[in-house]
Amino acid sequence: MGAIARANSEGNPWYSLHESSEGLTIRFRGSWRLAHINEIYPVILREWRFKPNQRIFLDGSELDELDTSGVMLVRHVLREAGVSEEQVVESNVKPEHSSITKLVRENLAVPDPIETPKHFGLLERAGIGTINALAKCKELLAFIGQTSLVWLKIFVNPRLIRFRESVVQLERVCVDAVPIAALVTFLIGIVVAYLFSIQSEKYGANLFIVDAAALAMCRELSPIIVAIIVAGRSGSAFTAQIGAMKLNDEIDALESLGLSPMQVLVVPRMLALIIAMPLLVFVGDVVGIFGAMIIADLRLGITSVTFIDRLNQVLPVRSLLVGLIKAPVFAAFIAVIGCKMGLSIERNATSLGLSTTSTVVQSIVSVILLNAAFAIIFVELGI
Amino acid sequence: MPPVIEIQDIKTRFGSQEVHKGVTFSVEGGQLVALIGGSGSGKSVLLKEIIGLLRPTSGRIRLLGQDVWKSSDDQLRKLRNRIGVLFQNGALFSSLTVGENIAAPLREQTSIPEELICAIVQLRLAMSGLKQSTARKMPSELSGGMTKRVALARALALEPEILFLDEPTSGLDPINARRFDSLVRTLCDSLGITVFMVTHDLDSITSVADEIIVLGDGKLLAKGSLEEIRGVDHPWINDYFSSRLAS
Repeated sequence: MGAIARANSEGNPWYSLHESSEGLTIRFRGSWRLAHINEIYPVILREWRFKPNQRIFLDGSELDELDTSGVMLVRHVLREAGVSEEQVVESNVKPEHSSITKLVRENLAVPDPIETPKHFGLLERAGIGTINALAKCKELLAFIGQTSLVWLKIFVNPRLIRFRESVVQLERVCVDAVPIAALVTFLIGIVVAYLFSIQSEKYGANLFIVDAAALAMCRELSPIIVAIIVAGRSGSAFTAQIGAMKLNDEIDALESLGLSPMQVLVVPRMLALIIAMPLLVFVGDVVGIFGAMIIADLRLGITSVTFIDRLNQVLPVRSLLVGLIKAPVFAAFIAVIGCKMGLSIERNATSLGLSTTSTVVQSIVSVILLNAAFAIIFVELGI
Repeated sequence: MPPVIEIQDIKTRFGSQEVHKGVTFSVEGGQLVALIGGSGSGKSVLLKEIIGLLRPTSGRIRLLGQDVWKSSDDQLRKLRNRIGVLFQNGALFSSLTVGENIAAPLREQTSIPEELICAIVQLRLAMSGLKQSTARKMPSELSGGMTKRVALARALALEPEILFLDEPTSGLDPINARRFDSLVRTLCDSLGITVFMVTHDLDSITSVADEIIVLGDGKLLAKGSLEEIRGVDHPWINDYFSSRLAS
């Protein structure tokens, strides 16, 4: 048996096996380091065989290099093969390696039963998802309640509004958003007018392009487009700003200074967005109709004078107001969702990213749902 | 044996602000070296330059005999596998569990089988003085001292030849700080690795450091053993070692 073992490992650069009446001696050589583990591991898995209760001598006299991973490799293989620690004897360890083998010996951890991660079935997942969604709804409701209470206080005592913060936010969400909102609505105005011009030309109803573009922009397109831009731009920014403050303990610091995060962070942002949205929607209306005017001139030869004259007749103030009234409601929802997601962030960087994404998704979905509700309400009221 | 870290005439400038005005020193292998200096003396900047994260304005840095700032990307990657870094706040990946954090360097840089990675992670946890059950926790659930230990375990994952520690004991209570110091000392001695530590902690310096490097006014103020440094007559060094009496 000993002869066979020796024959097996003659050409082996890592160790030789010697079996005697006392037990099995593994004489290590070469470099047992992390970089070589990949080469050594399959060889020893294949070749090391132990008898029950056999004593095993680990001989380090010919070993050149060693690190803790190398020792761990040996210990791991022995442990997996069912060799108990009492059976193992380290012998002839070189002085420069003895501290490493000692360090590992002292830290041989009792393997912890590792729980295999649970895999859930479809039904369980659906259940967990539903419970989480309900919990989120409850949190959102609670947050809306808190916000409403703060607003009530502010109605009683308007001096609680923090003017500076609100103005700073207003600049960020309104003034800074004008270029992008104008650009996008301008392009939408052009597209709508262009597509409609093709149709109206067929029926010789050229002038109706004014009706179509103006009504579409004012009632639907501008509010929705601007709301989506604001959700992506300001809603996500609210979550990121407040979330980063929370990660940095700034929210706790505010509270310890006797300030309410609701008043300092949430109300100014809500206020700013509620003021900003109708203004941005109005900009969108004007720029969108301007885009349509250019197309009407280029494609159908309707001069700007004719266009504006027609606009006066077909665009009642009521239609403009329908669009503008929706805007602050969208704004309130976007601001509440953005701030709430920021405040309910967990203490890690992943959560910040997930919450920001979630804010944008929730905001856009709620804006579209609200818009549908508005459409039905306005039709029922005959507006 | 050539020195493992060689710094030659390092100058660093951010705009008009001159952080290093020519710093030169070298570190021998197997030692535990502490880099001290007042706030804003460019200790952390120097550390970043040594590990190849920030390019100095001029000067040469050699790590394990290799010029850090003249290496190709591939050479630098290989060099980085030979060093371990513990960042000031641990810098654990917050989306991974503690076990996955420690396994990350092994999984990314080697192709060791999964069961061996598990065994090595268990060894690293034990070596850093952590319970095995810590492996399943998320970094956000850890206390400051545990975070540093996990970060140490991760820094040790690839069997580094040099271990860089950035303020390892800041934010720890004195008891945990001393425990951490003696842990680093033990690992330094038994693994035979070089430890380069940026610190403010007077106790760390007096209890575990073999050699002290003092940085100030953008220059190297002193380098040597604790006794030699104490003997240097410089206002900042005098203040530093007498600060204990004042408190």
